[in-house]
Amino acid sequence: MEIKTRDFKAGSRRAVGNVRVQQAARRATGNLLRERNNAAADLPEWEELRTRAREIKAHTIERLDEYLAMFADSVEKAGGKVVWASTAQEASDYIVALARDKGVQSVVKGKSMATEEIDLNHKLADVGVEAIETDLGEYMIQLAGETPFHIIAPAIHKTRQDFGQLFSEHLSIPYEEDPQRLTQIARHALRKKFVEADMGVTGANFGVAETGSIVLVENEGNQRLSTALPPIHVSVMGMEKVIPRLQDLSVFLALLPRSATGQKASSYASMITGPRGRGESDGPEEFHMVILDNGRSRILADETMRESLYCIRCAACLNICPVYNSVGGHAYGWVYSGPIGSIITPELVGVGEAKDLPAASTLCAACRDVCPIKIDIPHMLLKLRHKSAEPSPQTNVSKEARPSRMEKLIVGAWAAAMKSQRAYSFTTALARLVQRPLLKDGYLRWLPPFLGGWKEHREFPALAPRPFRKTWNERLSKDAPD
Amino acid sequence: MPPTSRDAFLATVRRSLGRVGAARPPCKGQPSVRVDSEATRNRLERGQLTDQFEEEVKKAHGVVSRVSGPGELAALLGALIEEKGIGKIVRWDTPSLANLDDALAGAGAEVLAINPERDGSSRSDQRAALVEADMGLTEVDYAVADIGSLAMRASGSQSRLASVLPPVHVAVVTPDKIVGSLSELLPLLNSGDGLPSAISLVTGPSRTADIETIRTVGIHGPIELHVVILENERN
Repeated sequence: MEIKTRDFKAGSRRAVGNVRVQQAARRATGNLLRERNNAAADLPEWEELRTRAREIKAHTIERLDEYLAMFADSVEKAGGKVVWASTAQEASDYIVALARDKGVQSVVKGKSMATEEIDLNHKLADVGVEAIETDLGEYMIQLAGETPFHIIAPAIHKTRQDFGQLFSEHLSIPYEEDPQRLTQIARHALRKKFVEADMGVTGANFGVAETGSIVLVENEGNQRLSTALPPIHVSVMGMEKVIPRLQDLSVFLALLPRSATGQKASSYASMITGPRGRGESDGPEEFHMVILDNGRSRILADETMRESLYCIRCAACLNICPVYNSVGGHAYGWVYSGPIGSIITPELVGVGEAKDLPAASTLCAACRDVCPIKIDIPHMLLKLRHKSAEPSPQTNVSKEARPSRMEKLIVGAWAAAMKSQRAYSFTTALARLVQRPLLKDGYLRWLPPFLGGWKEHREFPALAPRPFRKTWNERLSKDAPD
Repeated sequence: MPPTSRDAFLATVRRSLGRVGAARPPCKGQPSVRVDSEATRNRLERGQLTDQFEEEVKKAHGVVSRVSGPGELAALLGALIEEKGIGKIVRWDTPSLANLDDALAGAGAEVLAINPERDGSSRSDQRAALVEADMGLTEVDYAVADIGSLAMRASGSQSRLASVLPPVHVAVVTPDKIVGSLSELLPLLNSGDGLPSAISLVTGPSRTADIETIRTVGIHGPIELHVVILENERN
């Protein structure tokens, strides 16, 4: 997928101005979040499960080389072929070459963010292979020529009327806007594609090292069809998705659907282990497992950022994020949006390419609280802000990114004033005096020009006439028993 | 660009982890997946597994019926065939489902058992039948009470497609197949050597909420899921 992370500011400005999209997205994230909250509250062991999940992920990522080797051995033992792709290019080249070798004309795809990363649909189209997205939301996005707006619900910014119009145009059918009927229209259109397809491509929610299974979690059944009907199945999995044992799924399959949509279980969870076995009635003749690095080893090398690889892509952090809910998924400019996108995108595409992403956060930490793996996203946002101000060829941060003398001076003075109580009291007392001529209705009506962008979209309330500290201390002495 | 070699790929991972060259000692112990409160909760509810399973399937928008014995099962399926106007049925190739063939045919449905090793129909004939079928009839290997899920292993006689292609899926569950939770199920699935090419966990009908987060059913898999709990014949 084309990287447009540099356009974050322009993209967010556009999105904030689009009331229709914003309303549609907020309704959807609100619904998902409410369901998630109910599901988490219903399960007494919720916190225990989060702790277990985090322990398993930490354990696995610290020994990722061993578990990847074990996973690969198990996949091969089950009759699958393992492909190691260091870059997006290597992954897409392999799949394109495979498609050409086998004379593949059409591909059905299960929803997969990894295949968005490697831009597979376009790469296949370039050699004349039709790749059809079969998840309803992804299908809609593909018809509209857009990119996913949300990690698990790619078309939440679209209304039923949008679906109706696009279906009518592309499938040459009368306009229809009833959601259940639209669903049936998509079923019939896509069923034909499934039956004809020469290859099925999916991602993987988990890769089980001990058994060589990939696990696909879904509600629609398109992953089941993509992995059972076509003669060739290719799975593309980010290398961090490996887990040690099948038994570990009891933790992750409890957390993932509840965090994503509030379901106790998704309609389907498939454990796919190699191609069709001897004597089995259906399934593909070939199974190709593409394990993707594409920048993940850079994340792994940074001990602060490493835990972003624990993510299971439930998208709960998107639903709860005030920034995502304002700027929407497209502003983030690449595959992953929301808080998790703000920490992994800069690492995967280069911090210098995406420095606005970690800056666009209120640091409210709601993402950390809602995360089923307790990933400390706010901490990593701060780390990335730091990185984005340090010129380096590795991160693609240019010399211009270095803060100006003035900025350093202001931040230095701020830090000095905040570090000791005396300095703080003195500075605020001084500020109370200075602000007097600038006040209007309890707000500052003028701010020094060097504050630049800071004051552009903010209103600054005046300092209270009396410090809270004083009032508090007085109360304490008054209430104290004699 | 050709793919990276396994050794080079894993060496990069190792380098990122700060471990240069040397292999590590084998990994001792793995984190526990045991969740105490879950274990306690399920022990309390063990007695009512079938009831709990029924309730959870319903919550997941499946239709549940309870029957006593094959006679009642056949009658129920006959009524369903009539009500839904079902013409073609594909089913697992198992003895207890085979016993129903006469009754299903009697209700007016054409029944085909899916198994590539059976004489009489080729793999491509069977594929065509799966695509055209109005109903898929299966059993289950296990069922999970606390989430209302069915677990089905793929094999020659247990077609994966029979439970996902037809618009109606009917699964026959006997109470002895029901386990409490996923943590009880997973070790059962992983016994013996290696897993089959597919194990499907199924909870309710195929659904989506991709249009305005409104729940609709039957986007790719079954529009209806009927779970029939087959209990012992009463004397």
